[in-house]
Amino acid sequence: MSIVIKDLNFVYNPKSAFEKHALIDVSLTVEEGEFLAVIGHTGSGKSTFVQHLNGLVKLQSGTLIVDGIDLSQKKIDYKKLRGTVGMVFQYPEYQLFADTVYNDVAFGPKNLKLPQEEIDERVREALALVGMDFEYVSQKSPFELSGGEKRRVAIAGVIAMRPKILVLDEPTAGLDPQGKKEILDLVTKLWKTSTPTIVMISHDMNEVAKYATRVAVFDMGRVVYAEPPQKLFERQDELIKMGLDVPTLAKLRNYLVSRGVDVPSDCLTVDKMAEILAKLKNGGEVCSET
Amino acid sequence: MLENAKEIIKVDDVTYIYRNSSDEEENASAAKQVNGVKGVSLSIYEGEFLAIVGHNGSGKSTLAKLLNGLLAPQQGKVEAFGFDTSGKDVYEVLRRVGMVFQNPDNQMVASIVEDDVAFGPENLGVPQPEIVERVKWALSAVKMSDYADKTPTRMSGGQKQRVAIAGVLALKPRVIVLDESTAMLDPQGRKEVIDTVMRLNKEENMTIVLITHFMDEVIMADRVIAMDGGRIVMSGTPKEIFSQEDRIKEIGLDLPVISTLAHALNKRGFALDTDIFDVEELGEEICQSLSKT
Repeated sequence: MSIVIKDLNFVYNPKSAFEKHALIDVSLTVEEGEFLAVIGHTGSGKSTFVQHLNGLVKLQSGTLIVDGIDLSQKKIDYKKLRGTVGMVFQYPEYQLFADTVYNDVAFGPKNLKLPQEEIDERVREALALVGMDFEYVSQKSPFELSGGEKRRVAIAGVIAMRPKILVLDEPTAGLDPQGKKEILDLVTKLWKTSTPTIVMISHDMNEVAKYATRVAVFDMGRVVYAEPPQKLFERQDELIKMGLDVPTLAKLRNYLVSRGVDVPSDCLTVDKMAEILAKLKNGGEVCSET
Repeated sequence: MLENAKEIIKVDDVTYIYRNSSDEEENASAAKQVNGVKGVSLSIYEGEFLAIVGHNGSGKSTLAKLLNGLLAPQQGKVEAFGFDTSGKDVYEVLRRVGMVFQNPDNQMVASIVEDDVAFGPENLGVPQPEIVERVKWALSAVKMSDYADKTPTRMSGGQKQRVAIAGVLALKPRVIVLDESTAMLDPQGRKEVIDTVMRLNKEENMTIVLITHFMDEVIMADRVIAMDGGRIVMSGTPKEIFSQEDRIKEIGLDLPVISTLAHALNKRGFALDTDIFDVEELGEEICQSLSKT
């Protein structure tokens, strides 16, 4: 098991006028190999939740064990924890700071006091993983790059720490469709090759439906659902009540089901949906009258 | 559509290319790609809702900044309400063509919402009683009256963008240009902003220029312009634009999911309208074509 969370509670500004219960009795287990999407309305507690995962927020009450590291203990090996959990914040390109791409990506490994050869190896590996040409880019200033390239370099800086768990907070925010697809394909590639567990905050339900293996829904500090996307998106009315959206194809599927057309719940891509509907058409499916 | 409408902004064969010293040494292939806009002509009509789409770097933001004189054309001419945007009349242009930017946090100048909205008219020397009236009107137009005495720091992105729109409204502009103003917002915030500009367009006859790469936001526009490589490559109603799936993909954009599905189904023997944007409408059409066979 990658991450075990039990009865996690968190209060901002306790015992003051601004007291706010950000997390209430959150329990969740994330297995190695999962691509977990975290969704929820602004202020639902999802960011506070992910900040717990690498110790950016101190545990107040409950149990949190990340890859064997128990965060309820007095002494925590933060260095080990942060090597295990890589965190990619929103708009990570704003965090680039070094004079060259090489130095920016090397910053983490250097702080681990690794020998120079290994630092070099890790920088090359990380840049290759995010699809950047080492020779072309390593000596450039990160500020000469395009927005999408900067974001990939910032992710390379996290990958260079070789984390087992990668946490991403809205990695596609602000990108155009092409840029979004590139980043999500990159995350999927990392998931399949180098980082076995992914936790990704997203507001884009079409994206969640397409990429995640499981979705945790936060609402007013609680995890209300944690289940595969095809199951979750059958709960259209509940999700809309929470201020969340449902992927377009799930909405269509739910509508068709209400009209008596038997469309399975895992039709969450255009190809799958088109294929099933074409089959139904050839099989002579008839809609019920409303 | 808009046949009798008055032309209020005229962009005539305009070129604006960013010059970056380090770029000049770049390889020849980079030189082919225009960084900015090249030879763009466009007319904007009073009361219309115009959407400009394009991938990052297609020139859409450059075009936006040319509309109100934030950038002056290197070649060609932009005229807004009869004023040349590159001359001394640029202030007349700025008063009439307001702009809302991408990052809500970068557009707040005061610590209280009503002070922030009052900033523009105060700088224009509008008399105090009128400022009060304008601020009140602007905040109610974006449905933020309840927040007049609140501080923007604790508000959501969508609320902040609505305050930014109110700040522009207080200048009583004739046109509002939104330069990717929804890009950093969550779906709820995006909806708030889009609903607000749609209402201004319908109820106040405000001319809206919406720059975005979310294709589902342009469905309600009167007219859509697509940019690629610094040029206008497509122009038409949303229906006309979305019927050209391959061309849209070629320039790095996506159709709304519902249109993509309609196209995919038609390839598999359906005969659906490809200009449906509503889930239930398409669902109904699918049901009908299923029961026909």
